[in-house]
Amino acid sequence: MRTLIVLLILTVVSTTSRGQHMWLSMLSEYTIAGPQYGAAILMETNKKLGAGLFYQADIQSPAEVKTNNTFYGLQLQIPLAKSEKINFFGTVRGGLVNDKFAVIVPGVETRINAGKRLAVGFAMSMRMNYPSVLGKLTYRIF
Amino acid sequence: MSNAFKRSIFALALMAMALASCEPVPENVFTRRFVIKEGSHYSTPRLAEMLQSNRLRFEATFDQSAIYDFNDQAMQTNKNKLMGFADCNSMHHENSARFGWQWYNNQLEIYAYCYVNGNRVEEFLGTVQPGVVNNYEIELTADAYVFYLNNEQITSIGRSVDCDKGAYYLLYPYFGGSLPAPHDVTIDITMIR
Repeated sequence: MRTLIVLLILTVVSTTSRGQHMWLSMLSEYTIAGPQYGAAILMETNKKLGAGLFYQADIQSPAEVKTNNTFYGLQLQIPLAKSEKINFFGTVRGGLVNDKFAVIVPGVETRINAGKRLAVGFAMSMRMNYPSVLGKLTYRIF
Repeated sequence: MSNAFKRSIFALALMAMALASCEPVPENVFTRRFVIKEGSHYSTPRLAEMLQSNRLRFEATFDQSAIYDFNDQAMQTNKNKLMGFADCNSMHHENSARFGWQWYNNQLEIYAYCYVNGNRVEEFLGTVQPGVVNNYEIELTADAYVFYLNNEQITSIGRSVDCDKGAYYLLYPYFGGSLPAPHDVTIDITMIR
């Protein structure tokens, strides 16, 4: 596990060292287990390869489970199709759920630029073996 | 838009349509029907998923296909697997907890079926009826796998893993034991999140 974390950090560092943009996002994801809210920060190269960190959790814990299903970790993106206004990405999120359970979540994301610094994103992923839908509001810090 | 961009969009749309068209339409979107084909051990669909909380909870319904007769007591008492998980960063033949089942004595018997440090541990939990929805739960505690059947705690089997953070992969229906399914076996499973 430690080796994996070191490799992931090295990947992030090598990607971000050539980063041209930093994106800050507020996100909401609707999974089969309910909605989650969170934030993400992403460094992106000129070729729109990206790496970053994310954190999300349930707002209300299911009473029986007594956990808010926190999910945090690393996020990677590769561009599938690019243009000035709209971009499509393949994404992978990897991290821990409930501080304990390692998961990897593949997905696809559409990002539509809504101004010089603002963008909205829509993504579909596979969470818990079911499709999930994610929406995010993204601000380009630089 | 450039031609390259249009071509990329077209390719993505084709991929999405191809993937979407392969999806079966279940009666209940949250219920999955697992089928173990005659002559097979593994069920379809083949899924890869990780456990994400300390409780694995699901409802399962067997049908009449759970009834089989091998005319051999040793084979008849081989446990088939319903569902469970491999423990932290372990392979499932090292450390895991699952529900097992067998058709024996004209009844559908449910078992706790675990591996603890490579040693198999089985405990009888109860019987269920084909065609009836039953509730199954395994709670993962610091030192045990606690088995519940229809919301009643039946047994607790000692756990021997000193790892905490890591991968806990889910295990899906499997027929056997030694012999494969003598005919198609169907099990409906609804995960409870």
